[in-house]
Amino acid sequence: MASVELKDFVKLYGDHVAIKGIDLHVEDGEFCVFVGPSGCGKSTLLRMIAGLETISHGDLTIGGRVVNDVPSRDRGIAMVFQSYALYPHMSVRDNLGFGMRIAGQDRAEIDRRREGAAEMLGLGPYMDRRPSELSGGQRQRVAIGRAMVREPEVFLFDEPLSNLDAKLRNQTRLEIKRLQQQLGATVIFVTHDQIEAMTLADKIVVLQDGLVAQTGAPLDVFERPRNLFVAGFIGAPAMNILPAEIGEGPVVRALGLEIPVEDGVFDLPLPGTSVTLGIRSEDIVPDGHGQRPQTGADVSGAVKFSEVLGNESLIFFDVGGVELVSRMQRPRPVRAGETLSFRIDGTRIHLFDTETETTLRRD
Amino acid sequence: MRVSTLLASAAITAAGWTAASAQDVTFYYDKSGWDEGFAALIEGASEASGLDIAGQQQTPTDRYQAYIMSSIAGGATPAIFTWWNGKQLDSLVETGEIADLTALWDEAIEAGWFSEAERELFSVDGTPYAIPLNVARWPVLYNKDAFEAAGIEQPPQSWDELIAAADALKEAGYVPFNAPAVGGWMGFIWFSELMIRTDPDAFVGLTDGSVPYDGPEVQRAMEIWTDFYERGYFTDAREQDETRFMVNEEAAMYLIGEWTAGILANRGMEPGEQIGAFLLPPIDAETENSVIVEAAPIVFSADAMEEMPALMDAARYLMSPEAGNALGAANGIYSGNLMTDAPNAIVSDVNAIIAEDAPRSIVRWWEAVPPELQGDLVSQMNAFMLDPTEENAQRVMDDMQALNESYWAFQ
Amino acid sequence: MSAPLNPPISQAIRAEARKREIAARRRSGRVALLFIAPALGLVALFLLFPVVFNLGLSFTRWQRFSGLDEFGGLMNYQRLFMVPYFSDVVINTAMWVIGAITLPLAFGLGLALLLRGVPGEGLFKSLFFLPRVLAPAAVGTIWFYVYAPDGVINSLAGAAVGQDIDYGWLFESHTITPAIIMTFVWQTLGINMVLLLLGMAAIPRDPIEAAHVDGASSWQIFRHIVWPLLLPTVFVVTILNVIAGFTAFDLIWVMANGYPAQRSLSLAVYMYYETFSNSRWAFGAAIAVMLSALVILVSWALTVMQSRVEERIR
Ligand SMILES: Nc1ncnc2c1ncn2[C@@H]1O[C@H](COP(=O)(O)OP(=O)(O)OP(=O)(O)O)[C@@H](O)[C@H]1O
Ligand SMILES: [Mg+2]
Repeated sequence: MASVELKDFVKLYGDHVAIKGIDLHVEDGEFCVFVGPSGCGKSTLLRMIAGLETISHGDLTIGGRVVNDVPSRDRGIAMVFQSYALYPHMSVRDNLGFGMRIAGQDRAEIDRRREGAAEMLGLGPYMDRRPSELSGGQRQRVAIGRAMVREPEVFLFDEPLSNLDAKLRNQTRLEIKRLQQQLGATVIFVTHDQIEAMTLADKIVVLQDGLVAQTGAPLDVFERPRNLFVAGFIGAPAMNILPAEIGEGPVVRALGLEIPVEDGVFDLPLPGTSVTLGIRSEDIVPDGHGQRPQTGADVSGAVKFSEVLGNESLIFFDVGGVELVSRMQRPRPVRAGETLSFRIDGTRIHLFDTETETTLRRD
Repeated sequence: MRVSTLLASAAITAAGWTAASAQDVTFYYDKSGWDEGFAALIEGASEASGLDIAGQQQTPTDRYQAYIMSSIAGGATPAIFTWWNGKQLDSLVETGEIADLTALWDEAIEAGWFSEAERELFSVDGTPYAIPLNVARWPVLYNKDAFEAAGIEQPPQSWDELIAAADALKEAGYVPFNAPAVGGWMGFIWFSELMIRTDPDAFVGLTDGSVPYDGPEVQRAMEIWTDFYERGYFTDAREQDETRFMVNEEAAMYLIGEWTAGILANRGMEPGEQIGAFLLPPIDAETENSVIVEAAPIVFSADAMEEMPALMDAARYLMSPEAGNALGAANGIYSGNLMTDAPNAIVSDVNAIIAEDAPRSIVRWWEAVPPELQGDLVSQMNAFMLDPTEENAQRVMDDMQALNESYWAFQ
Repeated sequence: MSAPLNPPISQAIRAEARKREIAARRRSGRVALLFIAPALGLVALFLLFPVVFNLGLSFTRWQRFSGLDEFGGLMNYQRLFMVPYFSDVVINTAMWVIGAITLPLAFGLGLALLLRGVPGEGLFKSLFFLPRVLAPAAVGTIWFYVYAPDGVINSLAGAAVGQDIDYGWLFESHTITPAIIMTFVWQTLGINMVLLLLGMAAIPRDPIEAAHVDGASSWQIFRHIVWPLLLPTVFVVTILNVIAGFTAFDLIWVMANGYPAQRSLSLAVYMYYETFSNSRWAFGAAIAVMLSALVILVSWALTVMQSRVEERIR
């Protein structure tokens, strides 16, 4: 198996700089997920690793070997394309077998792996159809199958689950994870689905505009976003972000409230300094729902609207002209205009330097 | 589909032929480059007949023939048009659409315009059906300077003298004969000439199926032809400019219709000054002297003649010395009328030779051969010129005879 | 998972559905007819009528001045097989068709592969396309002199081997047809290449990328991905080439000008020769019918193959 190492990766499309200098190490057998907003360079990065785009600058090492100039076919990788990229003129069976066939595998082995993949992905009934006769989700599964049967050292997935329905997505996600563990393969997986990223990743790489915003284990990234971008990007709904000011003692002033802060967690600047405050929706707890935070501040506001999700509701409310969102456990019906009281959990707030947008949290 | 559309349009136009014409009579012809002459002829014919005659040129020749033939097949024979003599005239006359001109010819011969020999050229089974547009004899045109340079004092009178002259010319750096094969028709020139110089009767026999193309007569002509090529007497048959070697004085002699004198004159070789003419001598002393004659007839529709008796006056004019002189003055073409002035020195030279030697007139092979065989056979002769070897000569003779046989078998 | 319930669709509903479909089709059919009527009229007048006329002619005895009203039965068709040099005509036509299909396609494909994506692709494209917009008669004339004994080809070849060459490419029975075919290739190469480039441009990039990742070499990608996906274009190009090959006329007419046996150069030229030089109208019409039948047959076969292939790719 193989580790993957990116050193000072840069990608230029003419004058447009798509990747601006990325260093990354993916351990052998690690499941690494790239997340980031649309256009941030996830696919580009993946395609550079796959050998489909030239590496404008920097080095790519796979399994200890620099492979900058090694053609795709010799990099020991398999890739699932965002657009499936199936061979339109071949049946599902031939799509799955193509790579092995041209590699000169023997028939029995081809059949064994192909049947295995077909069974795992539920492709059995479609083996003789052509891609044009499949639904989007079925095509995506063929694309995954095609990568699987090659049993490569490194798997590259470009948003492979985006077209599946929720149930199938969960199933396939599990299958991919299981497969990876079975094969012990190194996986690089692109998604912009948070849940996917969280559930699958050993390591999450958050990309922003051609650069790495943060790398870390899923919880790490969730709990300790290194900057405002990651804070806003990871977690749904997006974290409440509001201007604040450092008060006397370990408190933060915002919305006319004084929110006490745990000692030793942040490098607090001098009182009176403007900072940016981040609070996740689940950390604004409506009174009477869930556990009332001990340290914190009370706030009340008029409900603007709410989103009912079943096991919880998102309450959007107004405090002095600022809109906040709170997560209501075991929800009850809420009317617009109703005034509710909440408590903000002071131990779970995030603080960022307003200027640099980086976290004030101590490592 | 090209062909069918063409045929269809030809047939449609033919049907509307007479109705659509604003003129009394249209005179169709395919001879290009003689426009001035035709204009003069048509003007004179209109005046003489009081008819409103318009000229209409149609080229190329195959289209022209298609047009005339489909018109006749469609029952709308043009009133006046040019045609070819020999077998071409025979099959035209067979349609019954062409006017009998016996009375006119009687008049013309009476007046001394023509002799019986010319009448014969335009007759089918003894009845004349056409009048001459022009008559051209086929002499050898020669470069007088070249002859002088080679020390040849006078044109050869016998075969031996001819060979001697050719060798002398070679010695002096000339190719003796210009012999192009341009345009797919020139192959018959030397073939015919060698046939009439060895056996004129056999030549005539070739054209009516009584003599085979692979018999001893043809064998002999082909042997001489091959031998001439071996000796280097001929220019490269692949040259596409037919008079180039004459004009640039690489070649000294050119066996061709006398009308070529006009072409050479246009390219700066003055007939009489630089160019002379003689008839190729017979190979054996006992062979009858003869000359190949090419005659272009003008024919008239029998129906039109009946409807418009004045058309006969137009015909009479077209046969007259005035018409002959007009054509001669305009385009240097000899009408064959004995009372016209020779349009150039070559024509008068040939006139003099013929007056003196009285050779037998022989219809040119092209007209004498059945039209269905014409193209196929001449291709073979051209093929020989491009590969003038003994084996190829044999192959060409075999193929010609195969074609000839299958044609006559059907008649 | 339980299967969804399938409510029964009654026979009455099915019959109704069929009726509505047919009515809808008929409505749009009538409108379509209205729109294509003028075109149909033109086709009838200038294509159908001459074709039928020609077919009729081929059964008459019309040659030279007469025979238009005499029924000749299959005489003209039998005659074709009795022509002593018929085998030459067939061989030459076959050479034309095979040469016209394979060579421009092969060279066009090669060039298309070479040129794809190189800088100046557009310039090269127009350069190779240029001969196509010249009239075949003009092209023939140019090449007649290129092949002439003192022409460019001989000069170049002569310079290469260091001695004078005056080979008559267009005057030798075994080089004339290949030489003219090469000129045809020169002329049609461009359009073949452009059509193939268009066809290639229409092939999605990602199956090719997928094949790269799947381990395929360039040749394997061409063989297994590009070629099958290009097949529909290849068929269109082939049909155009076949028709051009069967009906090749102008080039031969001009370039074989100096060559004696024009009739043996292809069926189309032979047709013209018999019709206009020999004035065998009915026979010429019969050759035209045979030629058309051949063209239609081959094109039809190719079209069938094409739709099969297209179905596989779609
Ligand atoms: N071939 C190309 N030429 C020029 N620019 C390109 C090219 N491909 C991608 N880009 C640009 O590079 C940037 C990164 O594109 P990329 O496809 O990697 O985004 P992504 O993160 O995969 O987005 P998404 O989530 O929408 O798939 C974008 O700004 C895009 O416009
Ligand atoms: Mg992408």
